[in-house]
Amino acid sequence: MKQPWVALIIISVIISLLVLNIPPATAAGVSFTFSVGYGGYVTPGKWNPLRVTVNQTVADGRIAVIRPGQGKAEEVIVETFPLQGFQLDFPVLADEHNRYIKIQLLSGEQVLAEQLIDLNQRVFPGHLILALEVPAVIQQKLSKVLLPEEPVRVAPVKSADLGTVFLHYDSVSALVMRDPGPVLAPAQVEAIYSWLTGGGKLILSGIHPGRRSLLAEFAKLKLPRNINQPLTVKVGRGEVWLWQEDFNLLNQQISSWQQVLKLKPYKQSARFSASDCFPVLPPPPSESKPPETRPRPLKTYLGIYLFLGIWALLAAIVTLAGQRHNISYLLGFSLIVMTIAYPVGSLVSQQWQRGTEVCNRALILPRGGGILWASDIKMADWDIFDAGACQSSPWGAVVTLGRDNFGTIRSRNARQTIWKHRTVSARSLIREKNPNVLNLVGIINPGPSLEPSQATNNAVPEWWKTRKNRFAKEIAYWDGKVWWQIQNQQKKPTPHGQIPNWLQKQRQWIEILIQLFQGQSWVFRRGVLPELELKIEGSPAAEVLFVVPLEKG
Amino acid sequence: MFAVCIAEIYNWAANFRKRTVLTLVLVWMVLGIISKLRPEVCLEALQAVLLWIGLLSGKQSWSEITLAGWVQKARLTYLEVVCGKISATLVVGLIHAVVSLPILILMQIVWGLPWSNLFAILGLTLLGMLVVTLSALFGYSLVRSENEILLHFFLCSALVITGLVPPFRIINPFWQGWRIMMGSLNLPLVILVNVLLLLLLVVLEIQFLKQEVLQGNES
Repeated sequence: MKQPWVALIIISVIISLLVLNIPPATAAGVSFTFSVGYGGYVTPGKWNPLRVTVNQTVADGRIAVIRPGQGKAEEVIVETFPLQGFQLDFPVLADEHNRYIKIQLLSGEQVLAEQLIDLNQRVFPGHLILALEVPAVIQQKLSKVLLPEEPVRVAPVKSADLGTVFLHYDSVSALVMRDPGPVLAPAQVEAIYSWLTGGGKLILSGIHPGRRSLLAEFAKLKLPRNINQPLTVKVGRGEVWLWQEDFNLLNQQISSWQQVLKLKPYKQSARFSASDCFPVLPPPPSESKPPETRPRPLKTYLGIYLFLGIWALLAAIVTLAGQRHNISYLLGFSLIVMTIAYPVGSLVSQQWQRGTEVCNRALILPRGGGILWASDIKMADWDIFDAGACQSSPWGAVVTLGRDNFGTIRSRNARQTIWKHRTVSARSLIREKNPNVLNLVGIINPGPSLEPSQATNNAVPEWWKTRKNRFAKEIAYWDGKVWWQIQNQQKKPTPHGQIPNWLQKQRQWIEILIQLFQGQSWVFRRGVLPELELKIEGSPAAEVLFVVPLEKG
Repeated sequence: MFAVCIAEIYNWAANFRKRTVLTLVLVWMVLGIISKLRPEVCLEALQAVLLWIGLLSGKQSWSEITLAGWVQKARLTYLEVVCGKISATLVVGLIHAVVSLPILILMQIVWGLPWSNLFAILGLTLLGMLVVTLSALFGYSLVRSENEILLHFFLCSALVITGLVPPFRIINPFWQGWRIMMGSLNLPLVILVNVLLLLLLVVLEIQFLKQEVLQGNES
């Protein structure tokens, strides 16, 4: 052919069309089944367990739970990977914004299978009691403890059905079981313990002696080795009832169960749970904060100006002074400046949080039960003409939480938010994504940074002694009636007529907590909590307002 | 081909280097300071500067010998001459990208634009620059020198139309740059379409060049 480029064009067009039209290869026969909630029912407004079971191993497999965007809402994708084995437990929040969720089984970029779930298909807005190896007669009695006001749902479960994450117990009011022996996985034990410290109720009968008992796995409860008589143990806000006799031998009447369970009507009861303690608060309107009052990362701006100015000056000198045909000076100069651009950029970018406002709140569960937390990440409105204020980028930012969780958040221009877990158990999740506010919620283990007094929620005097703690800047105390505060350099707390100024921003949430748990005393502190290291890109970890419910006595 | 390429780069370095590099530095400095190096402002400005350089190259602003002249004097094939020209334009564009790289690195770190997106925008802009060069090459060979304003008007209109009309947005570098920044782009498809457009323009330019050389020989 005289004109080879014509052949080249034709061949490239054909190859391109072929490449674009090749359907993606699908893994044959891969499918999954799922179950949501305990016993097939979902508790609205609460986190419910979602269990996905895959029929075969998938290379590079992962599960994505997608909340499709409707109207102005954004698509929220929560991914967990890698998918080791066949099963994955995942908490999902069932509320009016989350009626439909889509589950996808992915391998690389390929969708192997997907299903749409309607969470409102079977709902029960009331107390849920999980019953493990409990006779049907007892289950019936349990379901009537709040009659005639309201029914209680009793869901018979197997030990394998029990959740592995604290959020799986968000809707569970009590766990009644015949001692199954030490059959629970460590993650299940940990989740149940956290739930207990937050106000859960565990009732165990037919206890086996010594190491053959389920109690052998609950070392943190510090129970006596042999239980010869009925025993009640308080664990933080929760309670454990232990009976040596089997359920069949017990002749408990409904009134007796009422005394044991002490269930309040559903709408009045509250535990230290993710849904109760961190309700979705309406985001403050974006107009409430005029641009001039937004934080301005002056050090970052100064760094940019300096670097730009020096670079422009030197580049101009090198261009004007270089020999007529020689461009090697220019290239050499650019390569030298390039080597210092990265460290300068890293230094400069550490001074700000990419135009976001981060609000971290944490509640330290009693008796080392864990740190329950929620974060609101507000992306500033993007406006190209508003160059003076601190703005976020339209492509959002990468948020990291510890080593295992990360995701990309985007402002209103993009309509997708992705949150990823490197661990199989999803301990932190997106709860809500308004156009420009992302809410995350989760639980983390208390680390060594919490002193014993903090981890065990001792009485007030212990708290004031820890004033010198390196990560707490301010401390305030609500004794159930009055506010107290320690001012700088003061050793003793002084009564404070109203909520301290540094807590004003969180006033709405604090008032909800005080209202919800009346009579409860709280300590409020602000600082960096190493366990909850939430970072936006390379910024320093965001501060946390953490509250500690104090135990009486 | 290499002779054309080297001669073009040599001529640019000798005659136009100061003008284009200083323009680039000035644009970076002014817009960088105003927008605090916001990528959506600065990258689009960089794209504009590179396209302008592509236009200058297409206009043969710094060429001492025109493409038709290369064919006639050096006995090179049409394809070699056109390839030499676009290679030289690509190298000149790359030199400007390298000069900008320190600022691009700083911008990327401060604003968190993914590296892959940054390099995709650069690559696509260089491709767009070649498209503009080839468009300008046969555009300038079509119109006479007194009608340059008309040609500039057509080129600007082409940019506006490809930005406004959805099916043509795939060849608009500014639009595609924005889409890459937002992370919502089928990049292989865009590259494929732009490469095909480039090949089409190469074919057209060769045809125009043939006519130009034939007319030159007849006259």
